[in-house]
Amino acid sequence: MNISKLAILANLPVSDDEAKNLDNQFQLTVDFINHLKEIKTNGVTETSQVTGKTNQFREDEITAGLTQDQALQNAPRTNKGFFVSKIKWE
Amino acid sequence: MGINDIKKIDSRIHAFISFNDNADKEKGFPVAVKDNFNTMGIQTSAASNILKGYIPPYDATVVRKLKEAGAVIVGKTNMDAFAHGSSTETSDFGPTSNPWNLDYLPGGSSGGSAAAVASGEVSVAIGSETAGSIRQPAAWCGIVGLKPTYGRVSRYGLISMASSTDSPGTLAATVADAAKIYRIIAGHDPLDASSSQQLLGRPEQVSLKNITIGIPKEYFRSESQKGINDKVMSAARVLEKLGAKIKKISLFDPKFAISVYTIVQRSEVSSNLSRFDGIRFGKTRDFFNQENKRRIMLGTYTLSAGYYDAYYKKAQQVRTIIIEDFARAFSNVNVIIGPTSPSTALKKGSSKDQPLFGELQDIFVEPSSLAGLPAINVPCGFINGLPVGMQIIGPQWSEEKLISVAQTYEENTDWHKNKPKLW
Repeated sequence: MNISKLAILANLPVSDDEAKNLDNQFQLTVDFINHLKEIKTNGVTETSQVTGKTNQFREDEITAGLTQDQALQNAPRTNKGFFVSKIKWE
Repeated sequence: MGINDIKKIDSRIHAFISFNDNADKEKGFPVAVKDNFNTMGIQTSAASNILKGYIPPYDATVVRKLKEAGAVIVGKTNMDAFAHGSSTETSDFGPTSNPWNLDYLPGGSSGGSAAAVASGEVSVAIGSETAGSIRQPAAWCGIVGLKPTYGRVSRYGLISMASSTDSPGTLAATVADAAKIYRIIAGHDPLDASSSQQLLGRPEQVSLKNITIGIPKEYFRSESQKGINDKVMSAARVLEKLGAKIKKISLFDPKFAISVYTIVQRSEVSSNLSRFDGIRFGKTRDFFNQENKRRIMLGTYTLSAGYYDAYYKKAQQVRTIIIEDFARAFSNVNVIIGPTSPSTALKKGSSKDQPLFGELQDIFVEPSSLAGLPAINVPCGFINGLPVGMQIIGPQWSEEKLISVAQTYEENTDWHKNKPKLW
């Protein structure tokens, strides 16, 4: 398992020491969960949710939401009513 | 009890992350709320440094309903950071102590709520359960913990862990109090598309003569701590003496539910925690703790191309088997009784560097959580001064039946009258 690659996929900063630790702990977890292979599941449908509900709809009417100030109030950086994020140039 | 008295007790146990210092001026009944429920104007941190200082601009539906019913929120309780644990010692703000023995853990992830009730700081508290996080701390702290059917209580404003099993619920000193708060917070919410339109049942007085209790042999394991099985069987016998029938049953081995839950939960966690980007709120992702990182990364792995079929899809298929197994059992019995936890509370430090600590502790609660079933923990004894909990599990939407059976047990025993001595 490539911890560094996983860290990139998960968008998580992981130091070299952390990566070593995580590698061992991962292996323990994966070794444990592998016993699910013993169970026959041919033809068994997956359960994604247990209430049997299907898509919920409502009328397409505007309802009250957060004000712009409320939405921005916890942002570390804002600019003229916008969130500020890092720009990635490709 | 005023805020200053609560703070005095809390200096011993650290059940709370923050207090509402205006609580004494507000009129109503006091409630403690786990710190993963958004409370407008009051810090909501999920016990994580990522959200330290985050002040929500809205109330979770559970919080709004409580306020409308006259509750006063006295403070936000400690928990495992982002609910990633069964001990409360992975909180970024320090552990909570079990009021029965301060060297021991209260359980988790709703450990702060459980300790706040057990210590007498409050008589009711709100918790959330993804798999065990209400029942297990209730068992370790010797109180009542009610986990409703998944979809019974709105998750709007609850910081998500595993969206397909997260269930808000109540912790209290008595069954009646847990039930009272449950009836306030339960019910359909249009703001939560997964919340059910199923009508709440009416409070009922169930005659135990109409109740068959299933005792699954797989939940009474020889590996459990000595004494746990006996205490819980004695509790079931109390109900038998009062008229219930006991039937031995066999359930799908819960050891497989550990793996199903490990995969499903971590997969959903990896998705849910991607929203913590440090742009709209909170700090950057390097503020996640080790447990958070472990879980996010394992979930990323089990959902990734080449591994999704072997892990996530497989786990959801085994989940179907677990659900069908319970349905089969409930065609022969009305409720299922077993230990909530394989041990009494463990010492502080027990969860350190144990990647599967929570999942192993929660072996007896994971199957019913994966199936979305309701369950209640009631105290049923002590071993070496630490509480033992019995769980009563029912079919979907059977909360009122569970409450009635639990209430009958409580009325005929004295365990709930014991209180820890903090000084």
